[in-house]
Amino acid sequence: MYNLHLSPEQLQIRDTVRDFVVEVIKPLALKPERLEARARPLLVQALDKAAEMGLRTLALSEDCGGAGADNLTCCIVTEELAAGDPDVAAVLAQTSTLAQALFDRLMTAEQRARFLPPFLTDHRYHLALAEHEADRDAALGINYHRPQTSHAPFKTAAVRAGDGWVVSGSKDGVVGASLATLFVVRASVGEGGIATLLVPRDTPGLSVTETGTATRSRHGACGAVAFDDCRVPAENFLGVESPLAADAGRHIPQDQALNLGIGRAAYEAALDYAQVRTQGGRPIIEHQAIGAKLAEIAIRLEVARAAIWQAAWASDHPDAFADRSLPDLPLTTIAAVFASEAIYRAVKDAAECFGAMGVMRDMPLQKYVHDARICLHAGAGNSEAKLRIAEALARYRRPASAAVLAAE
Amino acid sequence: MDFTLSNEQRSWQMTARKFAEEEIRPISLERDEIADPRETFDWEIIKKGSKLGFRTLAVPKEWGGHGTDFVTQALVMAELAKADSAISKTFSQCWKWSHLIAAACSEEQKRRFLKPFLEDDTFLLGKGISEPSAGSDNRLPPDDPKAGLKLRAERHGDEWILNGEKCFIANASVGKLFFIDARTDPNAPLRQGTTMFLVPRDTPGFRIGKVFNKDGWRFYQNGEMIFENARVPHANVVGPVNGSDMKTQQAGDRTGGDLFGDLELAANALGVCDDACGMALTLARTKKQSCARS
Ligand SMILES: Cc1cc2nc3c(=O)[nH]c(=O)nc-3n(C[C@H](O)[C@H](O)[C@H](O)COP(=O)(O)OP(=O)(O)OC[C@H]3O[C@@H](n4cnc5c(N)ncnc54)[C@H](O)[C@@H]3O)c2cc1C
Repeated sequence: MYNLHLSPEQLQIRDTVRDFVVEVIKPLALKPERLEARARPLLVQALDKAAEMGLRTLALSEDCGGAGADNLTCCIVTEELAAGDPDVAAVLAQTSTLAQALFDRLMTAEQRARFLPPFLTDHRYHLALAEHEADRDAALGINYHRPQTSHAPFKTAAVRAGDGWVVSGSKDGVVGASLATLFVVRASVGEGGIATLLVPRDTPGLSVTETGTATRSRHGACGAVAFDDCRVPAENFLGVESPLAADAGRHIPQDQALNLGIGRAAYEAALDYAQVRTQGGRPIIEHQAIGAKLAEIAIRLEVARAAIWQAAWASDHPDAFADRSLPDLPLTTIAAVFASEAIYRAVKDAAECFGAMGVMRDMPLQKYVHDARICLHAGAGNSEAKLRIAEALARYRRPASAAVLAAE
Repeated sequence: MDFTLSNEQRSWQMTARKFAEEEIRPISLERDEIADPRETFDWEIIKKGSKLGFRTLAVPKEWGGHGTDFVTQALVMAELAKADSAISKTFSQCWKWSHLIAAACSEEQKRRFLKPFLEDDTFLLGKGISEPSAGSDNRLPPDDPKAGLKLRAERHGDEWILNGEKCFIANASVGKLFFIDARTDPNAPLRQGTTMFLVPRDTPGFRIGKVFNKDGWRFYQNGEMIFENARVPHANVVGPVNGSDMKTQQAGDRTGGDLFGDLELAANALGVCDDACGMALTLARTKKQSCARS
C-alpha cells in the first residue's frame, strides 16, 4: 500500500542528518570566502564525518556491512544533505547507490571478497561510474519513434589482451571522479558490445582531471577520466549492463532529491529573510507580493517532493507497476523534468525576495540559482528526458544493447 | 504607425554594432572572469566608446551633446548589450543622468557640470538613492517619515553638511559626479523631506567604500558611498529644497528620477537575448548529434 507515514527509523535518520547539516555542513558551506569563490573545493571534512555516520554505505545491505536503507530513505537523506551542500550529497549518494549495485547485486563472490573489505574499512573509499562521454550521441533523437539501426557505441574501448583487458579512451562528467578509489567503467568491446569493468584508481594509465566549479554540468566533485592503455585483469569484468540504469526511467530519483535540497535551502533562506527585512513599514513577508511569491515557492517544492517520493517509493516497489497500482510510465524521468523546472523557478523567486542582495556573491542565493540550473541539464537534460517519456507513451521499446561477449 | 528608422538612427545603430563586435566582445569574457570586483573595470573601452559618442549621446544638441531621441538610445543600447550587458550599462548610466541634468538642473548648473562632462572621456555619472535599510522604500515611499533613505543633509550658511551612507550605487568607484538624495527634513515623509544634491567625486568628507561583488554585470561598478561631514555648496542643490522628486515629475516622470531607466533595461535585456538566441541558432545549425543521421 502506498503509505506516506515515514517509519520511526526514517524520521530519526532525517532528523539526525538535518542536525548534522545545521551543525557541521552549513557553517562550512556558507563561509563567505567559499561563496565568493568561483572554485569551491569539496568539503572533505564534512564528507568524512558523513561517512563515519554511515551515509557512504546507506543503501548497502546490512549483510554486506551497510545500513540497508530503501530508496525512499536514501532520497530523504540526499535532500537533507543537499540543503547543506549538493556536492557532498552527490558524492555520498553516488557511492552508496553504486555500493548497493556492486556488492549486493553485480559482483561475483570472488570480486566481493576482494573489493568489499577495503571499501568498508576506509571511510574515504568512494565509487564512481565512468559512463558519459563528451560527444557521444545519446542514442536518441527526433526519430525516437523509429526503430534504431545501431546502438551508439562508446568511444572508450576495452580490448582483450592476454589474460585481461586493455582500456583506452576518456569519460567526462564523472561524479566523484576527483576522489573515487574504484571506477566502474563502461566501454565498447567490439561488434556493438558493451562491457562494464572495475578499474582501480591506481591503475597505470588512468588519470583524472577535475572539472572547475564554473564549467561543470553536474554536482559532486566531477571530473574527466582518461584511460591510456590501462591494463585491467579479467577478474575485474563486471558484466554487460549499466549498473545503475537497469530499469530506465524508474531508477532511484536521487538526483531529484538533491535538486529538492537545493530548492529547500533557498526557500528557507528567503522565508527567514522575509521575516527580518522591513520595507514599507512591515516585514516584507507581510506584503502580499512577497507572501504570494513564498506561497508559490512552497507549492513548487511540495509538489516536486510528492513526485520524487512517489518515484522513490515506486523504485522500492517495482511490483506496483505490474499490479497496475502505478501508471506504466517512467516516473523518475517525469519527476526529474517537473522538479528541475519547478525548483529552478522557485530558487529564482527566492533570490528575488532579497532585492539587490540576491545577486551578490557573498550571499548564498546566487549559488543556489547556479546549483539549481545545473540540475536542468544533469543527466541527459530535460529535452531528452521528454523524448524518453514520449517513447514510453508511444510504447516504443528501445533495442537491447547488442549481445555480448566471450568473456563470461 | 511607422517603424522605419531614419538615416541618423540607422547610422547610430551601425556604429554601435561595429563597436560592440570589434571592441567590446573581445574583452567581455575576460573582464567577467576577474575575481576582484574593483578590477573588472577598463578605462580604455570607456575612452574608445566615448570618442564615438556613446557616453554623451543623450545630452541635448544645444548643450553640445548628440541629442539623440529615445528610439536611438534604445537601438544603441541593444546593439552594445549584444557584446556585453555590463559595459553597455556603464555607458547608458550616463545617459540616464544626462536626462536628469537636462530636466532638473538650472542653467548655471548645466554650464558648470555639462561642459566638463562633455569634454572629458573619463567623466562618468551616477546617482545615489539606496541605503542599507532603504531600497524599495525610496521607490514606493510609505507615508511614515521614518521610512526611506536616512542620509542627512543639514544647512550651515552656504553649505550643506552630509552624513550617512549609500549602497549599490552604480559607477560609484569610477564616477566623477553624482546626484545624491539626502534627507533635509527628517520629520516629513520621504517625498516632502528629501533634497537632491550634485556631489563631485572630490568633495571633502565623501569617499567610496567597498565595491559590491555581483554575480553578473561584473564590469559594472556598484559601490558604497560614505559621507562623513561632507560639504556641498548650496549652489549644488538641484531644484527646490525638500523637493527632490518634483522636477522629474513635472517632466511627466513618476519613477523618482529614472526617466529612462525602464526603457534602458528593456533594451539591454533585448540585446543579451538577441545574442543568446543567435548563438543557440548557430549551434543548432552546426553541431551534429543523433546517430539517426550518421
Ligand atoms: C545592479 C544594480 C544596480 C543598482 N544601481 C543603483 C544605483 O545606481 N543607485 C541606487 O540608488 N540604487 C541602485 N541599486 C539599488 C536598487 O535600487 C535596490 O536594490 C532596489 O531599490 C531594491 O531595494 P533592496 O535591494 O534594498 O530590496 P528591498 O527593498 O529590501 O526588497 C526586498 C524584496 O521585498 C520586496 N518589497 C519591498 N518592499 C515592498 C512593498 N512595499 N511591497 C511589496 N514588496 C516589497 C521587493 O520587491 C524585493 O523582492 C542597484 C541595484 C542593483 C542590483
